[in-house]
Amino acid sequence: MAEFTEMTVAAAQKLRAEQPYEHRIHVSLVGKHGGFQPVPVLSASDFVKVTTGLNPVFSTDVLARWVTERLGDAELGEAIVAECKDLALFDQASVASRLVAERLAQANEVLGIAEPAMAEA
Amino acid sequence: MATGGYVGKILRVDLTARETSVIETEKYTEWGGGHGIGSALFWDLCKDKTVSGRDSGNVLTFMTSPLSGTMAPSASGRVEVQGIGTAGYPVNWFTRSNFGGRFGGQLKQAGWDGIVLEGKADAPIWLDIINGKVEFRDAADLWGKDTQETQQLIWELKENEEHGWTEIGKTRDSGRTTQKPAIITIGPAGENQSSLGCLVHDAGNAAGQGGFGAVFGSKNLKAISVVGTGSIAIADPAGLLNARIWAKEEYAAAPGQKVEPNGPTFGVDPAPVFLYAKNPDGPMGPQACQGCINGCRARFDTGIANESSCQETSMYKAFDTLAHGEGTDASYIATDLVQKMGVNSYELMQGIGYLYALSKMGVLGKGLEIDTDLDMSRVGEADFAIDLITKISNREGIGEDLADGFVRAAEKWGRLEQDYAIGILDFPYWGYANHGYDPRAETEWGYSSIMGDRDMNEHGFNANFWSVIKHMMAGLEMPVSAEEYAKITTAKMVPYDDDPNMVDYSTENIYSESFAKLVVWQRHYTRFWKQSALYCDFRYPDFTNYNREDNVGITGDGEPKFWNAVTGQDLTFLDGIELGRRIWTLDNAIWILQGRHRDMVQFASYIYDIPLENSLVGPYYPMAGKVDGQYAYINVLGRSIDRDGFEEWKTHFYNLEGWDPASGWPTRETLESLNLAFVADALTEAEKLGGE
Repeated sequence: MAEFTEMTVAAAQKLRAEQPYEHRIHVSLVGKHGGFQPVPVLSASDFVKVTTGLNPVFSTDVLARWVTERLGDAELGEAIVAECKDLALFDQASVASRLVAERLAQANEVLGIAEPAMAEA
Repeated sequence: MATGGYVGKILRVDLTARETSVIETEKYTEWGGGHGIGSALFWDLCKDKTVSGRDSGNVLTFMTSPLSGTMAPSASGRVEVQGIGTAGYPVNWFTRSNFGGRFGGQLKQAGWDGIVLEGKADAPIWLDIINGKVEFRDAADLWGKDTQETQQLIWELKENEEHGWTEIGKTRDSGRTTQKPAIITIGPAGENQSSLGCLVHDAGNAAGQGGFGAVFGSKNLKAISVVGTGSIAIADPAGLLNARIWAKEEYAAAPGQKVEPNGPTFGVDPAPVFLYAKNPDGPMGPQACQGCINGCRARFDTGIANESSCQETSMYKAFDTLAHGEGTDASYIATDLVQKMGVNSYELMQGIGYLYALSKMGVLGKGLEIDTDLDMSRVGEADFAIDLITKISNREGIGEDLADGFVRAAEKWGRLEQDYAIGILDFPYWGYANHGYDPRAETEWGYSSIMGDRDMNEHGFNANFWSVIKHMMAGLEMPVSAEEYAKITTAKMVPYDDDPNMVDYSTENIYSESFAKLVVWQRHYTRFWKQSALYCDFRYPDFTNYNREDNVGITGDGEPKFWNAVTGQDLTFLDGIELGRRIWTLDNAIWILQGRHRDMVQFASYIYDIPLENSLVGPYYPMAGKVDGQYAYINVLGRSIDRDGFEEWKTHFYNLEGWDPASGWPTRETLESLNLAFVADALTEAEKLGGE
């Protein structure tokens, strides 16, 4: 279980920001016969929603790098890599989702936002 | 003459003159059935093969197979549809689609092996077929109705008419059936000649790819209804029954046997294929095509999206979940609506992703470069799906652009090249949507599609990908090694069965002659066994079957066994492959007359220029491939298709087919060896014969 340090307001805002489309990542839905269905993820909020409602696969390395470089949260990126590294692909979404959701809740608290909300464009 | 699965007659319909005539099936049985006969009929009857899909000169065929309506497992329910489509880009290629259900069985029980549609009615009509009687009926009251309303109205009409087939006391052979008419119809999308328009039968069977809904619309044909009370003569009924028992005993899972995850193969247990984020609540009943051992669909007590399965149940779930954090009724409503409006869900799914990208890039929206009142802030909500599907179906607002396909819309907006270049318009071949099996990774899917006319939608080799990734995702060990998979599979790929490198998806091999053999084999196998004999893509080919100790599937033995029991022929598996070669070559001749040349056989630019990285699709794309001379399951992400390599591969492909590699056109020698001298003559006349 990751223990995150406190966030600054600036870090919280950066974590919540929606990324420009060219800086999206994709997670993929894989279902019987239907092919890979990549889902564009533009924000931490997008990631939490799609990994809560579905069980997509994704590269934890890509996710961690995106979280670190685009959302400015190296601590979250390291936690994702550490906690997912020994898991089967089908088990990674729930763990990564929990970690990002925890960090998002922390950001919301710092910003005084009552409920997890859609990312800010 | 009715014999060996054929019922003896093909119904020829002149919509312009509102007249029908009969073509003796016997004249075309050398082509097997289904696609083979359809291509031959099209060749003979479509005088100008360069017309557009919406031209009255276009000829549309609906063909069954000798197996249709019989108890051949998962080979009884499909109907092959062919003609010039409306979806192909930049050319409306002669193309195909097919659909399951019970239409084919009813058609044969009515005494028809197929239907040919020619001309154009002067006002909306529907065809009413009761055994040998065919009526042209006024469709004014049906025009504007959705696919389910249309079928309901026809059923109600037929229930109130004197027809006799439901009379108590009669036997079937004296003219009785318990069946409602089987109906194939278009919805508003087809009526408005959208290239997304499908042909829909019952609730969830559709001929989706090709844009045949628009062809129906262009011909003022709303629906075809058929009911039959006859029988289908089987050459060896006991042999067919024994073959079915043999298949069950040898290849199906025993009760209680642990079933390994696998792709679509014969050895998979029957189950509905749902891809919703969460399945609808409430009671569910299974639904299968006629004669199927699977039952890949279901009906729910709500009636919403009944009989939908596979991709169409996945069409909206990504954006539904992005909007809500869970799957909601929006997914069911969107799926239900594409069935009712008769809209191609594959194209729509990729198209919504394209619109989303344009919206997020600040290009599409109210007052923007692509000015639309489509409210992109509502993506994922039911009202957005309803608005978009309705606009496309009715050609309203932005729907006027999108109704001709997303690629043509991009072209109209002046964005085609730039959106291909950045990869957001994910339509890699001939204007068709990426099926989810990207050509850069699952190369055989891409090559087969671009060498053909459409997204191929054939899961034979793809089944292994599914097996591997499912085991990988669940942390399970694969029941067969890549080496064993390659050995089992290539041994079945006659006449190339001496080449073990055919299923090597490593980057070093995908431009090789061995990989060309894989695609050539697939084109020939599917053209006969799947699209002419009409074995279902969800069950055949069955290369590796985990229900057996030796893991060897039914393919190679099963297909001819059922075929011969029904037809009384002595066809070998290889005979079928070679007949597939002949049919495939005929199809290519049609494309050549439409303008096909080697130089235009190219993917969209992003397939060459943007590597398929794990940031675009996921962590792994596992395929069989050789590493240091040994097969392993390798990750094929990270590559794009090399332009020069693809050109080398095309040369291998054309050489294997016996076609001129400079043009991609068949030579006279090859055509005559396939008993296609008449095709050589036609190509000579068009100055398009290879090698000259």
